[in-house]
Amino acid sequence: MSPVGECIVAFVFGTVVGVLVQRSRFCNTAALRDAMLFNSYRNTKALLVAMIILTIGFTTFISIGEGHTMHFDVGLNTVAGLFLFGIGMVLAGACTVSTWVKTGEGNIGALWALIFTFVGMFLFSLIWSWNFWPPAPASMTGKINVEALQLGFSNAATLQEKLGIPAIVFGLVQAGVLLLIYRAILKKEAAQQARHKAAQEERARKKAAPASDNAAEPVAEPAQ
Amino acid sequence: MDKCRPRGIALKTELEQNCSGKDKACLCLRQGSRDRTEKPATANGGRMDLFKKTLDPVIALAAIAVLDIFLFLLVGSWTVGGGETMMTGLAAEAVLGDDIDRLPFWSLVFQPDWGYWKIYISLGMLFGAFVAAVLSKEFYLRMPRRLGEWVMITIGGLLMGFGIRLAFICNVSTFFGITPEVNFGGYLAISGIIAGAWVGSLIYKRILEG
Repeated sequence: MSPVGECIVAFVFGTVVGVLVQRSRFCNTAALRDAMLFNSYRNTKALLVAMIILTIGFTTFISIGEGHTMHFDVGLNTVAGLFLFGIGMVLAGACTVSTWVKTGEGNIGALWALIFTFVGMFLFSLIWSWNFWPPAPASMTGKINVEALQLGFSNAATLQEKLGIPAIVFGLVQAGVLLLIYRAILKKEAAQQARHKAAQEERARKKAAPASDNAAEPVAEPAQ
Repeated sequence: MDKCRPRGIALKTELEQNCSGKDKACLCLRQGSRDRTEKPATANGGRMDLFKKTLDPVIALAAIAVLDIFLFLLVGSWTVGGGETMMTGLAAEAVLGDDIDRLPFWSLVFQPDWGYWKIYISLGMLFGAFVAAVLSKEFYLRMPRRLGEWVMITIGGLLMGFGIRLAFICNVSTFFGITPEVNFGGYLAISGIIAGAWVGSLIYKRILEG
C-alpha cells in the first residue's frame, strides 16, 4: 500500500475508534485502576473481550502468513518503561488513547497530559542520545543479548516457524486463559450484586419506609 | 434484559404470530411488551441512539477489535505511542532546526517524517472524539480545578512519555498489538503496566485521602 493510502486508512480507523471510545467512555487506565481501587470491572471486561477477539483474529491470519506483526526485542526496558507508564497513567487519569479522546471532548487537563507526554518523550531522546540504551530497532538481533539486557524476540509467527505448530494453537490457548479471567470477573460481579441485594433487603426490613432508590446501582461508577 | 430488547417492529409482529408460548423469544417478547417505557429500536432510532445513550464498552471494544484485525492485515496493529513520538520529533525539528542532528535519537531511532501512518491514528481519534462529542452535545471545555491535579497530570504525562519510549511500546500496543500476537514481550509488558498501575493507585489513593 502506498504511504498516502496507509495514512488514510490509519486516519479512518482512528476516527471510528475516536467515536466509539468517546461514546462508550472506555478507558484503559480505568480498566486497570477501577479493578484495583473500586472493584469495578466495566472497562476491564471490555478490554478482555477485545483481547480475546484480537488473539484469535491475529493468530488465525499469522497461521496463513498474513498480517504485519511487530518486530522488536523485549527486555528489562519493556518492564521498566511500562512500570513508569502505569504509574503515570493513573496519576494523569488517562492513557494514550483517552488523552486524545478527552482532548477531543474539550478536556484541557487531558491536553496538558498530552503535551507533557511529548515533553517526556523528548527528555528520553536526550538521555538515549547519551547512553544509547535500549538498542534501536535497527540494531536489534532478535536473540538474547545479556549485555544490553535484551531477551530477544518471540511471537506466534516465530513459534510457528521454529516448532511447526500453527500460530492459531497458541492463540487459542491464550484466548482460553483470557476467557477464564473474564468468567472469574463475571462470577465476582454476580457475588457483588448478591451481596448488595442482601444488604438492600436488610435495610428495607430495618426501615419500615419504602426502600431507598439509590441502592439500585450495585457499584458506584467513579467519574472519569 | 438486554437480550430481550425487541429488535424491530417487523420481527415483533412475526414473533407474535408464531408465538407458541414456551419459546425463549416469546418470553423475551412478553417481557418487552410489559416494559412499556422501552421503545422498540427501529433502524433509524438505533443510529440516533449512538449519540444519545452511552454505548456499552464491550460492544465498542469488540467493534474496535474487528477493525484492528483489518488494520493489522493492511498496515499494522493499532498503536499510539509511535505516532506520538513522531509528532514529538516533528515538533523538536520545528523548534530546534538543524540542532536536532546533535541528538542521534532522532536519526537512529525515529527520523521525523510526516508520512508516518501512526500519526494519523492519533489525529483520527482526536477528530472522531470531537465529532462524537459535538453530535451528542457533550463538548465543553473542562479544566482541572486544583493545583494538585495539575501537578499530578504533569508528572503523569512526563512518566507516560518517558515510559513509552523506554519500553518501545505504549499501552495500546501492549493490549491490542503484541499480546494478541502471542508475543512473550506482551506478558512482560502487561506485568509491568499492572505493577505500575498498582503503585500508581496506591499513590492516587493516598493523595485522594489526605
